[in-house]
Amino acid sequence: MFGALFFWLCATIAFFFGIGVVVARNPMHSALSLVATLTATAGLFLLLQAEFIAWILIVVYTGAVMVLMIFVISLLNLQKDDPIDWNPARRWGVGMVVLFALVFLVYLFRDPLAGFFSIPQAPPTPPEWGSITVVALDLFTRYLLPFELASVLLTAAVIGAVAIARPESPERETKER
Amino acid sequence: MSVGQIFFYSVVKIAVIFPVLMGTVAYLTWLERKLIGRFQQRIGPYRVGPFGLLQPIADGIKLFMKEDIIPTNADRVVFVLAPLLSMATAVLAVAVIPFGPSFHLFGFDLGRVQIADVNAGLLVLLGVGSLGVYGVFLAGWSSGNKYSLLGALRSSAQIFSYELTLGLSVVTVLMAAGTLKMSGIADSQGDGFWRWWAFSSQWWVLPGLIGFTLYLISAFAETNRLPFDLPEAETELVAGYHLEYSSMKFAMFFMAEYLNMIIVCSIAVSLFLGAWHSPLPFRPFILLPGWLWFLAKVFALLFFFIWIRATLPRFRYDQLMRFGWKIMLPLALANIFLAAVGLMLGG
Repeated sequence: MFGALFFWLCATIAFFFGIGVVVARNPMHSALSLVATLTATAGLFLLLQAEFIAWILIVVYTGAVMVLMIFVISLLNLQKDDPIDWNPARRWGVGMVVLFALVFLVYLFRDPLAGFFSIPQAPPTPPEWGSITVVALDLFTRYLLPFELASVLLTAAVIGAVAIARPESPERETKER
Repeated sequence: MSVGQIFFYSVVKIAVIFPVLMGTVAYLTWLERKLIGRFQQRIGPYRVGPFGLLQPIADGIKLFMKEDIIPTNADRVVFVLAPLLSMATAVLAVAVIPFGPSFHLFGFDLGRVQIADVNAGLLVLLGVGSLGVYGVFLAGWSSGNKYSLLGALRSSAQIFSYELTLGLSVVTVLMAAGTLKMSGIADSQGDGFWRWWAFSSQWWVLPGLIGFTLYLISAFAETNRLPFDLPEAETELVAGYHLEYSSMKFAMFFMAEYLNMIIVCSIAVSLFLGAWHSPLPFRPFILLPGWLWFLAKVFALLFFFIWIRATLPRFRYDQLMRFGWKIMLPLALANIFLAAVGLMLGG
């Protein structure tokens, strides 16, 4: 009962703000809609008992990636988008694509949609299933190599970014006080 | 317990904890003014009520009666949303803070004095903490004023930089306690102050002490307190992100700031200072209820915050950034390494 309420709340927020990301004329509103969508998605992960993923989604995506995005948007001083020119060709084209996507999605999810108002129950999981302990055990034993490779890649990317952002000659660097 | 029961108990706990929290916010402003007054050889507020005790209420009424101005250039929706976000992200963190051990009332076991004891408690705190920057930044951006925007950039960069150290300093506790659950971390620090994670990390004192110090320093920066109160350096820079705000919207930023102060202190107490455990594990100290010990420790830390404000001058902005990135961050990383080596050799 509470699970169902929570599911519909998160799903509705994710859905409408997801539309907002595309529809908003102001880039900042677009980015903020994405923040809301991501937060609601984290709620959906919580419902699947994937606690760790849910909170990492909040920390990394809403807390870091989106904040940087918003930084950039506010500094670029972007203007509002021009209203879209809805000529017949575009109207029909977009309409057909949306219709096709809708039919495809309905076909894809026909089973869950059959029981539209009953929330598909997540299969029963062991009590510690999505917890950080289990995730960490997997990360540091079975998936150790990909995990370490990813961290090496990230470190290399950070060093690369610093190298690119540095002034060319050390003399031009402003002297520290 | 069924889901309904858990829900009911949570509502009851919120109904008790939330008013206490808001009352503490109001009287923290009184305490701060009174203490700062004493530090500066003044009396502080004393006219409204005995010892100036009604001063917060008078302040509240004053702010409430002020004109609520929304600038013409402002993005109206975001402008109204920003102070609400600031408050909401500040209040959210209270949900996982363990204020006390199990609690009995009229023969009912109400569970812990903690609204939600989730498994990923510490992650929740970090996650909610990382959202705090939205209120600040959106406020500055939506005001449609370049000084506000610059102020917001300044504050966000500060909060970012010190959030890293804050998160890393907490990792030592996580390593020592071996759990993210707030109640688990609290339970792991029983039996006397030498078991608190600020003073022990299972084998020697250093990682915990360094972690605690780093946490406190970054907490000062996170809550925009002196010596890191650049977001509202009213004497040399215009106030910053809340420049265009007035009336209750300004009051909400103000309240969020004090709430944040209480919350970082509560986190420090629950992670490093033994949560609700008494410092000495024998009578008469253990006779006091746990939540009272918790409150006492939080107030001791709050007093420390105010004391520092009265003592230290403000950092310059480049000093702030240099300190954060070149001293705090490497220290925090080295400290994790130290704690890991310690745990491996000693644990």
